Amino acid sequence: MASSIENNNEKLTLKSSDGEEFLVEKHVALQSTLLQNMLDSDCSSADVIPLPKIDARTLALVLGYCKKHADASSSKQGELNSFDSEFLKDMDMGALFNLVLAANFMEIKGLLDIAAQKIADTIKDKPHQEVREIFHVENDYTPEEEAAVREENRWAFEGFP
Amino acid sequence: MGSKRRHQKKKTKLIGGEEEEEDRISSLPDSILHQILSFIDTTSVVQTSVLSKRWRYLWTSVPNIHLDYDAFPGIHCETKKHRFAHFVNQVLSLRDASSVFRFYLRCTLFLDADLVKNCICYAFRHNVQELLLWPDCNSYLEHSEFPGCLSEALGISSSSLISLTLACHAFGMPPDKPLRLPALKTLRLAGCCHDYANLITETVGNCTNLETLILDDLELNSLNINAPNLRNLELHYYDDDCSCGSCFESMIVVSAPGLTSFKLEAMEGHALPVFSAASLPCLHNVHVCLKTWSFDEYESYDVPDEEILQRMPLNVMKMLEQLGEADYVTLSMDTVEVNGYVLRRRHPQALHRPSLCGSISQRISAFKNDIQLGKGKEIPPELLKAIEESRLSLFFSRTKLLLSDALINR
Repeated sequence: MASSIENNNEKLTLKSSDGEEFLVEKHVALQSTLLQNMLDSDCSSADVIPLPKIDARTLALVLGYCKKHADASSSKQGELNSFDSEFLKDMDMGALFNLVLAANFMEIKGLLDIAAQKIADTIKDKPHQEVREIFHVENDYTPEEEAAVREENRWAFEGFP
Repeated sequence: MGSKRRHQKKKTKLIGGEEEEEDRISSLPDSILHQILSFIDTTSVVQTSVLSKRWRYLWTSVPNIHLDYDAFPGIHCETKKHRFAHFVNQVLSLRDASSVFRFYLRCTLFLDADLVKNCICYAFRHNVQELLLWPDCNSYLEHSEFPGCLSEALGISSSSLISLTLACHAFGMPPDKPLRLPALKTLRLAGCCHDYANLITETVGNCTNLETLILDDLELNSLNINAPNLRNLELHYYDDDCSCGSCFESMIVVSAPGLTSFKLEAMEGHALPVFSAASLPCLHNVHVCLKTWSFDEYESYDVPDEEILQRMPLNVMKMLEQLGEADYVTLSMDTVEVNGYVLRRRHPQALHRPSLCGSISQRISAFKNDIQLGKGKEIPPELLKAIEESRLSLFFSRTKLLLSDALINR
């Protein structure tokens, strides 16, 4: 605890599932509630914090997001919003799912929100067959079962094409 | 790699590293799927039940409920109303017992009052934190008075509700009792007209944790806000470009020692705000936007009472003086023009009172954007020039100092 002042400029090392190490400034790492809790409870004495569920490519993206948000002052909300929308713009679905899982694991609320929103926008207003195709959802209902589910929730389908 | 495909479609990694045909979305944990589905209209959420067995009951525990009558298929008629009501009742009865985080109900046309009441009661019973009732609607709602049952439902004390957005436009009558929402931090009311003064004052008084108060489409003669923990206050006066009502002064009395941000907009309306506040030591950001009054163009409208007009520049200046302690003050160009117009045309004697305001140079009109004056910020040279030729700076004590220094340095 005596070292708490030094800690302000301290860096920590995060290790991805595929073994790559990332040196991160503490204030950037604090964007993650998981890391914040680890630092608060002084579990950070370990030199390297392993993140066994997050690969290097995803972790680099996550840390880019955290750095932008940690460095921007609160008065630059507009700039952050445009950063957020650019951030996910051309991301493929695979990367997006990795990101949403990483944000969930590391407890980075803002990132989880924008990634979930992006996935939601892809589902929205699309026929089910198209949603199944985009996300490769395998329809494990038999035709009879699917008809039964439709019938059970008929009140939610009435009026829809 | 092919051996992995033993059991239907499982993970298939191609050599290029790209994953294909893997159902990533269905393998997400429920909590993330709920988060994703929270961004989607509840009709579409229920419809995901046909995707696969994994999705069959997911919708029943999504924490957000988003019901939009206007987006519901079909044109407005009795049948559609019945279908919508049936849909809402089915959702509420088939949902599991999990808490509701956000409940959104929107309609621009009349809905059965009992249905609305059911929704509110359901939301409160399920510890709702954010409640939005027809949040973006204007005056097309066909309610003639605040439905008694709605009033009754909102009268229930909710200790979970943190944010309430409610449009009151077409309610002739406000709820008969102030709202009791001890946990409330954000209150956004729209369309509050004259009868609502007491409701707002008492509700704000009841909600001791209130941090943000936003009043849209406001049309009040008086507004008294006493809120110890209030940080953000936004007042947007009714914006009505075809109004032929008469002008009135709207007295705003604010006691909010913790206020950091204040925003006031009175566009095209006929309310002239008269502001008075106890000390606002924490004030950081102020944004004032008052629309130009050009009565010459609108001969058919009631030109405000001469006395009110005479007082107006003084009132605006007093308000700005009280807000002048803020670190950042953004004045819409129109504010300057309001004063310029009235000063030039109606109140020339104010020009001789240097403590109030200088004459407004025509050159300042060259600024199309808002003028933002910040402590320690460099003043754009065009503005300096304009200020030298007018005396705009006299509005604000701190800003004046800053500007004077800058002028001396030059």
